[in-house]
Amino acid sequence: MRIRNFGLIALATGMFVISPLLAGQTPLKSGVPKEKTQNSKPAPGPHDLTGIWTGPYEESIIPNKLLTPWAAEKFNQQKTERQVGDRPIIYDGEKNNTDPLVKGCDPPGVPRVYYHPRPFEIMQIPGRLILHYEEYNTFREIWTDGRQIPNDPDPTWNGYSVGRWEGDTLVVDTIGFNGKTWVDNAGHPMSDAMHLTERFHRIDRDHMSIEYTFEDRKALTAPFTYKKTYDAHPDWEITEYFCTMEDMQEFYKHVMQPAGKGK
Amino acid sequence: MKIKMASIFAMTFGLLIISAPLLAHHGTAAYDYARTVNLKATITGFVWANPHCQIEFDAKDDSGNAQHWIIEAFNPAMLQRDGWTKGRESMKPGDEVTVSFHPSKNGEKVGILDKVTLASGQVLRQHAAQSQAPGDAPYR
Repeated sequence: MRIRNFGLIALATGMFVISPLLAGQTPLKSGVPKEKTQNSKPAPGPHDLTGIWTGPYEESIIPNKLLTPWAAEKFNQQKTERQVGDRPIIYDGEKNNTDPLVKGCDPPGVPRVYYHPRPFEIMQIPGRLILHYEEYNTFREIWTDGRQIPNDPDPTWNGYSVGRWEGDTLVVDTIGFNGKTWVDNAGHPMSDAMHLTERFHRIDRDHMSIEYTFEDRKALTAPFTYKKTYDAHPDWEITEYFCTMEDMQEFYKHVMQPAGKGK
Repeated sequence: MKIKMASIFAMTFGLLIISAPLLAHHGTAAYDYARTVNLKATITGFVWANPHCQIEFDAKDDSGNAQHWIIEAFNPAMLQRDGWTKGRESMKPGDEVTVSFHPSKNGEKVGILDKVTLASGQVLRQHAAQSQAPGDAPYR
């Protein structure tokens, strides 16, 4: 019995040791276009996250009851054109709108970049995943070369991400956020203390799930976990979506401000 | 039983209506999604740009008075996936079309697009391609 247990442990340990080596590899045959491979059987291996993915729009992710007093005050002071609780709605675009995506065309940052229904593409190369989100043309790297996450990385919009395979799940830790963006479209704030864990899992050829765990001692009183399934769209392409203030102001001048007049 | 079925239908339909206006950075509380206006229109401008495409047109109200409208649509990337394959050539000034849209609640001549029927009969919609996540209600 003891020997049998030992064998199981050795097997499990062995898998963990081997799996990072497989992280950058895909089962694609050379010379076969990705689209054809994705559309034919057999399905891609569990360690293959490559593809173009999309999910539905998400308004609010974080429950209000988990907000610290600091975060609750920030949340209640937000002003947007969205109906969120009793918060006042405004339509003047860049002037008094507090949404950083509207007010200054700021990058959505991670994780908010996921919550608009635009596709994102995952590319896997040895030691790295490259994520290209159509939303505000966001580029992001997840290191899978075995490096440790730095102790105190420079603050950025997307943070510093390191991933490792645990069985068939790629577990990605991200810290080093600048805290300037929102967690979600409703305006739940995040701080520079955010530790985001994403657990990527390829369910089958056409589906992938990501489980998000938010830990933020400045903004949240407890960790919060949330899971979403994404669809593969091998026939789509990621197209250019930059935000520019000139375009934004034109849109507000012509449509949004007249629509909100008298409110 | 009939009443029950009717209420289920109403609830489902209600959910579909509610889910549509959520799809924007800027929020769409200014628009009256309970109303859909259909107007025979002459295109006067078509802006194919982010964050939102804009359709400008002249139309006549019920009394025959000329009106000028500006309607927002989605953005180039999403509309192309919804079948607007001609892109910025989808419409040009002078085109005679039928525009269906949800008007602003305050009576200003602005709104958000439902669909455009071109002179050729082709119908250009939005939101169709972005609603395919499992368990997710279609936006329309």
